[in-house]
Amino acid sequence: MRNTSIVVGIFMLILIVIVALAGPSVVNSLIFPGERPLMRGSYRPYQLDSPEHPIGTDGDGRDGLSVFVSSIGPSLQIGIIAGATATSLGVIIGFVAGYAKGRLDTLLRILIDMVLVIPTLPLLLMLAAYIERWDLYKLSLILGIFGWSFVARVIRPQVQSLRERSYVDLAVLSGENALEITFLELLPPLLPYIGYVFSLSIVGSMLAEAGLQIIGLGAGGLPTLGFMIAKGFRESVIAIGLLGQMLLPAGALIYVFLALNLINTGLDEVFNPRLQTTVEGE
Amino acid sequence: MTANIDARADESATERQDAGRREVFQYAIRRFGVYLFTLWAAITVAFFIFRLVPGDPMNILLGNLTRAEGRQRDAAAEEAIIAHYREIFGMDDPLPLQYVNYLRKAVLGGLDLGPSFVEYPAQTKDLVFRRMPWTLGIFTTSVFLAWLIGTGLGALIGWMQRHGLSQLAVILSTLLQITPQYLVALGLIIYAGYTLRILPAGGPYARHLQPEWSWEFISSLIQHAILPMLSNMIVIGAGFTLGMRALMISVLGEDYLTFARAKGLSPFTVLKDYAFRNALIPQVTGLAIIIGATLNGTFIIEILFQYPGLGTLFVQAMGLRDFNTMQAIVLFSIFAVLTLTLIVDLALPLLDPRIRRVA
Amino acid sequence: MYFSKRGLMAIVLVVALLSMLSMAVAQDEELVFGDLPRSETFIVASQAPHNDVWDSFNYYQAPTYNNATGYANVIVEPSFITSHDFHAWLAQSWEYNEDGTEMTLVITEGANWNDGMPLTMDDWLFTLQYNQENADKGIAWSSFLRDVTWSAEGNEITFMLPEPNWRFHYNFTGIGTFTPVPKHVWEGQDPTTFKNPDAIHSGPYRLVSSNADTRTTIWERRDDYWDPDRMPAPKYMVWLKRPEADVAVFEWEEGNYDLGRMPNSVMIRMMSANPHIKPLVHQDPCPRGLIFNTTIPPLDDNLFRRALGLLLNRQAVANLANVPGYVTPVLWPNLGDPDETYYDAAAAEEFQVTTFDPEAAAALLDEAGYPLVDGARVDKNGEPISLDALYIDIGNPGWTVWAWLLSEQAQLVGIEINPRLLDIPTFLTQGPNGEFDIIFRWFCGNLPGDPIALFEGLHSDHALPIGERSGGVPGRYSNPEMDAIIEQLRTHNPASEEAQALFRQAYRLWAEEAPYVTLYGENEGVVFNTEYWTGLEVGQAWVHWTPAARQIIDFLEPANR
Repeated sequence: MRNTSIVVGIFMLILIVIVALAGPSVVNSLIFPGERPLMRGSYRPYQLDSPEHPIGTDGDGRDGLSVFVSSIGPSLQIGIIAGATATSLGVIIGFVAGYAKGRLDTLLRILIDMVLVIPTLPLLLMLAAYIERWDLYKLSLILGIFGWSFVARVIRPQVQSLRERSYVDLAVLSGENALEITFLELLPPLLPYIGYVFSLSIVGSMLAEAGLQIIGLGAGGLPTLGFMIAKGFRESVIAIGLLGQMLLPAGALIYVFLALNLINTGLDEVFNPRLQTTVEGE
Repeated sequence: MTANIDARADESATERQDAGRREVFQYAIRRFGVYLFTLWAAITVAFFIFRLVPGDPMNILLGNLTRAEGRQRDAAAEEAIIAHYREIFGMDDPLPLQYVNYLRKAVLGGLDLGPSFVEYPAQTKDLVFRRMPWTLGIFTTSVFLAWLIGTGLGALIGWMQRHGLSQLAVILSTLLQITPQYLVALGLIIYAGYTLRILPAGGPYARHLQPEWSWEFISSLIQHAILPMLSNMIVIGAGFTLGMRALMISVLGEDYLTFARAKGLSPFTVLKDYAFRNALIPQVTGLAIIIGATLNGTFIIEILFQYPGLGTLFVQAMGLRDFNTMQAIVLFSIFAVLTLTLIVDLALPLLDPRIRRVA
Repeated sequence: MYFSKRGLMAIVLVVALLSMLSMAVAQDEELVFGDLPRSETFIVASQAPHNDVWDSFNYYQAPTYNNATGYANVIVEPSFITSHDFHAWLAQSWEYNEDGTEMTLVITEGANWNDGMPLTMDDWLFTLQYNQENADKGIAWSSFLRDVTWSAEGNEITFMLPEPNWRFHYNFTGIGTFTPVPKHVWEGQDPTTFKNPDAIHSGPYRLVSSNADTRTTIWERRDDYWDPDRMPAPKYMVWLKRPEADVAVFEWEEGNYDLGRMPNSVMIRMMSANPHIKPLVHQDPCPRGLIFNTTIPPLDDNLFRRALGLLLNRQAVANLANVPGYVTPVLWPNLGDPDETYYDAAAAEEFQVTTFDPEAAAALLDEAGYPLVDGARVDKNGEPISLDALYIDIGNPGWTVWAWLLSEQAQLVGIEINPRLLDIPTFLTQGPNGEFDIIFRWFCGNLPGDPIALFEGLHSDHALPIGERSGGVPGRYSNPEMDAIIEQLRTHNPASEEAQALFRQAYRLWAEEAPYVTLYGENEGVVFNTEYWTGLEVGQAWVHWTPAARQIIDFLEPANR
């Protein structure tokens, strides 16, 4: 199994995980020995790029690079937990709704549509009033719980369409039960799409998290990429000339998405044998 | 060849045409009932959420008033002011009664959604209708264009997935899809607006003009619309491209495509009549969702480009906790998404004959 | 004829070229907003946050007050303006009787409205009565007239006050205070819904157009302004809502705006890109501080509150919050008033109101009965102490960093303080409702020679149950001793020696009790573009404060370009 996409994608992911794990202490010991670059108020805020502060200092008087490097870890965790929650919830509900007929489908349908159209920001503001302490896990779960409807909404019609195909009919005739049909017949062709939706919701959660930080649902003041972007927007860091503080976190999000997509594409090529024989345009 | 297949399809369709028609009709009726119920349920939930969000509009309003009122604070006077506004906004009634009143006025009072705080004494309804054309005109159009371009491009890329150009296009659209819209918009503003100075980068039209049927006004309107539309299209279009590509690839694995190709149909015919058609269905559903999400997603573009649309209004209303206005905007967005989904659902059986059987 | 045909043609050509050139020179004037000459237009880039009203010029309505059209600054004129002292404007002077139960106001004669009608005593009396009659409608400038009667004679209005009030004139001095409205426009109108569409007030400008789509209002100077000595220099005024700072920097750098606010952080870049740009930075009149919720143990203990005050590194916060190099950051040991007659320097020293001393804080905590158990301070019930510190982020480091610095210092002495970021509307509600442990606040309203606003909010009248909106300092502070002092202060003439003694007494009590603590004074600034207009300088009254544009306008002079 030698697929360049997978290898490159996994390599990219490993790299960023290493940066996330080792980066903060490396940056700290190499550039700021004996200092506390992450403590608010350590430096004069909004300093432009300099050898001491490669991407400047942020509005809270922290070193921008240190903030960026230590943002990656929490952001990845949030993305994975929230993305997995949203995708699995969405896929399950989408499958049940798409596979079932009649009442159950109608009910789920209404639920999906409702969650989809009700804006989440006020809902989260409301929640903020009732939850005392926030940590990374609560935050990620909340994000996942509000993120599933999009997944369900796009999965459901696909399942619906697939289950009417002739090979599914054949499977039914040959005595497969609903679970077998789901896992053997319906899931495989949808995997690439689910993979794509999964990577989208990982990165989407990482971005959406910024919105929560701003309304006071932050994970105890943890630095995150989303928050860095949101703070950069509010404080006009681009106008100040602190390009790095905007482009690096945005770049990291894009990077993660790209890596996930590469793996996704590669896996698809390996495990989806029908793709090998695909008809293709010249 | 194509004609041949169509004829065969027609034959099989004729057999259950009458039954099919009745079924489709029943399906449409039921679907409409579900639509009405969902609409009501969503509006109800939204109503209660907005009233339960922390942050009291009275406090914020009074903050403004007392700042205006000079130096001598007077608790009794503040009480009077609060009482006056609470009465106008019907905030003294118990919540369920407020809800009933709201629905009654909205349905029977010709969309009377109450007064607004943002622009008191303007009516929420007038406010929303004044801002709506900007959002609809610019953002819905750009989403639609982005969908068309993205779908076409995505289908092509998916079809020719091994081609080097396709892979480049995939990487490019992946980059663009995840780039925060704010960065794309700001990049366009800085580059096209201020560095190259080819297009105006702010406002709906030049500041000294007033709306009128003159060439000067219309050309200004168009020039000012290009950059915001473009920034919206780039990000959303990239998303559609990738989505369509993934759908296309999953369809390409289907046996009937191999079969059709083996029969000697030209690749283009297979792409057009088989692959594209089948991949299109979820993509159409996606369009309905995105159009609704436009309201929530593109407010940052409206703000950066100083576009007087609903997104900007929503942010303002949120800042003042103007629940009437927030609710009206959300009401509009709920209505738009659900209605579009309804239309798509009713149209899907036309696109995909197999779904007819589900119905 | 010596001129050849060719020569003649050459002469004609030269003449033609010269005349074209002179026309070109004559038309060299740069035009903006269609046909306004740039050099005669003053462009204010405002930044109205949420209210976005462009078609109403109603001075009674709170939503329109903070608007971006500039009408409250360009055409509404105050009775007096206040800077370090008072200057006559629509009124000339005021005088109290012996016991402070009557105030006589002398109005300015000869003023007129910007539609040409004279501004007379009739308008004054109409407005007073109009405000009083509509007091229950929730409009501004009506509450101070409750139970007040008045009579007019010549150019004097005498107000009969229900009880001695030496501060009644504050209702006429400064921005956002009582000012007459034209009777012929407002008569029979509802103050909550009337829009005053033609923008009739007494200022030197007239409304040309106002557009809600482009968020632009254009004003033109009127020649019949009633005070020719104060005729402003710009022929046109344009008020517009500027885009987000990220975009607005380019407009500034291209010289498209003349006056407005921008975040301090982008000023350096703007100044280096456009040498005409000058920041006009002054000390903000509202110093910042922290309020403690005095109903929650252990914050109900003044020793504990003072210990928290000792953990505040105010100098560090002030340094972060201010633009370096303009105005030295100030702490406010004296509650913002430099005059020692009103505050007790010995009390400031004794209770260490601005001192940063974690060791002293630890000692104070030990003494007050909050011992360190297993590394954590415990309260009187033996529970570890944990408090929330609420802050908002508006892009100014000082507003956020205090909470983290305090949290860090508190942790060193064994107290857990969790900084919590709130969105602004939630903050504006939870604050007055008392739903907090420690909250950031600004303290406005202190006047030179009368710092009553700093104590008034501590009266127990404001100590409402948690969840109800309090108009005072919302820490639910209640102390009969403080109440007694405040009640006496209310009826004393602030200039009297008794009042000054009371102020010092109130200060000492405040320092000892620490219901709220001081943080720092902030620098605020506006950006001024000197390419087309000059005359505004640091140090002039009002220059730092955009709502005072009417006063600023008079300083403007055309730049010699």
